[in-house]
Amino acid sequence: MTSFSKKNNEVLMSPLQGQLKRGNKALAQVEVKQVVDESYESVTVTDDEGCFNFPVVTRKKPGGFEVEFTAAQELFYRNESGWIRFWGGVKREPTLNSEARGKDFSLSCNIDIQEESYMIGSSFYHTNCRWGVESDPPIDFDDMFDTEEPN
Amino acid sequence: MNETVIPPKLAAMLAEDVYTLVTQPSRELAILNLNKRYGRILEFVEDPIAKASSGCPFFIKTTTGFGIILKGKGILKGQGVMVFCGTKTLGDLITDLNFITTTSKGGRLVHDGFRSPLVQSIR
Repeated sequence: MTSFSKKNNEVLMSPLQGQLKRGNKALAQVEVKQVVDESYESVTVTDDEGCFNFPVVTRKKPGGFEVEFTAAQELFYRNESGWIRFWGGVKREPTLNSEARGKDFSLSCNIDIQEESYMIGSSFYHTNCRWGVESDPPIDFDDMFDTEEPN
Repeated sequence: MNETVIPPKLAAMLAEDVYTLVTQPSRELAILNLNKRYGRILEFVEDPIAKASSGCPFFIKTTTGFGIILKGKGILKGQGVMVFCGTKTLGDLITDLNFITTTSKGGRLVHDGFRSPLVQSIR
């Protein structure tokens, strides 16, 4: 874990705090695992309120070259049958808190609710969590094909 | 044959979104999401990924998703769309250095760094 410096570091996953629930019941003392880009793993345990947190995960810009930024993110909780994913997606912006459009990244996760997909810019997330962010509006293809003249 | 030109805005969006699809391990989620986003005009089939190797044969060599092939529907019915990735890994960076030109099947000069992965992915 490193401190975030805008110049040299890219944020693979922003620092997050979350709460894990099943219905109205907080899931206490449950293992939660964070996997970033298949290569970084961290495990924590929820407290009595079902709360957990992970610090920022960063990397140095590869070789100082500009390459396309992608970071695969996953969060799992453990139950009797193994690790169950409740957050998955790809972050496409290297900036801090881009997952929450720049606001604090604070998840409220309920494993009883339906998973939903969110497009935020060119990043996407598929999750049982809510974090005060709305997905981008659907693309208006009619408008796109009507207004652009073929060359 | 009736051809619909892909609007530049759509081309730019697909060029951005191809990276979510070739990033593991969330491919199935990406397909789900992109079908939701583009499902009216494009079909993301179960295994749309073209793979190819980049880098140097002796030390840095990575096999990654190189691009995607999509089937048009709705206004794009009867058409196909191919979307290629740019530079994502160190291996890609090394491949970028291979800018020697070579002759394509159609007789035109192309960069060998692009042609080789493309030929691999089509095989």
